[in-house]
Amino acid sequence: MIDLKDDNVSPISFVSRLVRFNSKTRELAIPQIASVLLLFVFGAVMIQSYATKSSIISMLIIASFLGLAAAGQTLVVLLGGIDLSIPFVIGVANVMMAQFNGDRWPIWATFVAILVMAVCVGVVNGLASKLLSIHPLIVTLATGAILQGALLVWTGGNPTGAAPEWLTKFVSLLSKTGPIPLPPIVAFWIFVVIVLTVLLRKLSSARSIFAVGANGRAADLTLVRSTGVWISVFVMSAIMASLAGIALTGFSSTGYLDIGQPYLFASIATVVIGGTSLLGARGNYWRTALGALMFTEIQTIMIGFGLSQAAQQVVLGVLIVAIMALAGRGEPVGKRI
Amino acid sequence: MTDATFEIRGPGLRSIGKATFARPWMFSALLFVVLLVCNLLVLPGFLAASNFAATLAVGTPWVLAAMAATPSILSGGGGIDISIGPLIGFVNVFIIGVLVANGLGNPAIVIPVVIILGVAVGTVNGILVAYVRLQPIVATLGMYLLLVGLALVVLPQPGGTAPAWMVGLAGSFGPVPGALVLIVPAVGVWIAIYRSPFHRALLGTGSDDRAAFTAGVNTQLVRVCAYALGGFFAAMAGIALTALVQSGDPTLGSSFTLVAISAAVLGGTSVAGGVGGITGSIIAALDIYLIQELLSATHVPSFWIQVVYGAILLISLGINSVIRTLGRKTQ
Repeated sequence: MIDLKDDNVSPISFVSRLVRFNSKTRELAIPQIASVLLLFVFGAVMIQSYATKSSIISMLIIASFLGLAAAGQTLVVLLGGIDLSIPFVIGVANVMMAQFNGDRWPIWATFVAILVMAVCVGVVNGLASKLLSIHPLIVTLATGAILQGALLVWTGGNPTGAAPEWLTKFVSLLSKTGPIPLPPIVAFWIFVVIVLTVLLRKLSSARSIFAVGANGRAADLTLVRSTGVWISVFVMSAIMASLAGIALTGFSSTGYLDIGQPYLFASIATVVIGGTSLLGARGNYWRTALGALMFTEIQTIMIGFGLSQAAQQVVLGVLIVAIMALAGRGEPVGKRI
Repeated sequence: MTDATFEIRGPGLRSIGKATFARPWMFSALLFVVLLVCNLLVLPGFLAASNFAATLAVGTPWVLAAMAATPSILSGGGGIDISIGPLIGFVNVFIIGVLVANGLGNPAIVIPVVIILGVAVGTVNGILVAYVRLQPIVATLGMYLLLVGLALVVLPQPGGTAPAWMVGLAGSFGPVPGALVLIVPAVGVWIAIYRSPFHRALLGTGSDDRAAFTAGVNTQLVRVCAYALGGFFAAMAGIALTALVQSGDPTLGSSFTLVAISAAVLGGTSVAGGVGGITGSIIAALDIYLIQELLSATHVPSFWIQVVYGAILLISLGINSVIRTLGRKTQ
């Protein structure tokens, strides 16, 4: 007889069963929503001025950048891939925005140039991953290196230019979106969350992302054009990363080569703690939005406690593992037979 | 006799493809020969005995890092260890900032302590992956952040000096290049594993963990051992790095992760698990090292190096994939 190792006894699995006591709680992301709320209450109790209006709005702005950067990552992860070129696309878009604005390009020309860049990166990533069947991790690593190098060659390592005034206002803590008392960047992010979530649910071409992510060969047999899906998902990922890069120009007010670097692993962590599976086909973008809120709250709390940069990394590393151990465990091999 | 006529075939792309399919490391070996010839054309003295030891010492951390990246990928289930770079960096600052700073720079202390550290970190990764059942990239991302943070706590600023005996590791002990003192034992460990039943269990778990499990393999233990082995090689790479730079720097390590993983893949190890081995990783790490040497020797402007490096990596992987697909069809 096969021993289907039952691990009821370990304390971790006991807690994790409690957290996901049925499939419904998992479906509704109860642990994630509870964490966002609990973290907020914890911060408000422990840290003075954590729950003030300006602090909440600045957390929302930071979460918007992270959420936009992780939007494309969510789509790629749903496909069962991973995109490491996102930080480099953010950097290129950020420098292009500042540089072209400094050179007095009309705004539409700047946007078209950035769009062309994003589409090229996405097409190369998608084509090489699917047709040459090289793992996307490696493909996007190589395109990332090319982008970073191209940026150095172009700017000589010293980007110039400045953010246009409207863009600075777009991400400013003090500006409002018409009647809504939130900065435009936050309103824009909420809009993206709603649109992307609904599209992923309803649009038939978006459903094919799930089909390819669940089983590429089966999707091919049901006449889903999986190569097209791979290319369009990576193009979407590069476009979302460019939007994050453009928005960050308003924040940094000048071109900054390494501005995307914090998003390399943060975008993956955000997707994963939101509950989208790295195995593909399970998840949605609203989960990533929750992940972005959690991530930002944790960081703000750590800064509030006065932790050093190094200590923040240590705590974040431990927390990611702890959160996933509670809410994101895989099935034991014996149960997959 | 008819078999023999089938055996004799022109050296077409297909037969190269077939050979590459049978031996995953073949493509990186061909690339190695090409790159070595190019390097020798540009720099005739590249392999001269006088600087051979120094050349080898520069490549050693990369070779050992690529070895460290391989076992976790082989173990399958999305297996990958992105914490090896930070582990290499942490070993570096641990030697300088903790051991040497407290007068424990003796090789009889440094080497065993560091190896235990590496194996322990690898084992924790393995337990998180196999028993806590986290996605490997998530588990090792946690370890990545932890180690990057701890390295900054142990040694906030670059500095310190490596113990005197380490100079030899980056140079030579008499006629023997010091780098071999690290590479030979590491390869020896791999050969021992290759000959043991563990190797077959590792590849079996990597290609189909359910089949291996039903065949009675303790797949969880196999995976823990795979990550621990990666930690061991990473510790060796950390020693090699410390010998090379002769000081401690908390920011050095992270960059090793991605290069090491690309070397493993270029060397024919499949990211899906179960296919490949450390031979290919070693050769491919030397490939990447030779590419960088070639680019700097031909005076490619430093800003261009990354562009060309990324392009070569992408093109090589593309060619490798195409000829392997051809080879598979021939079979």
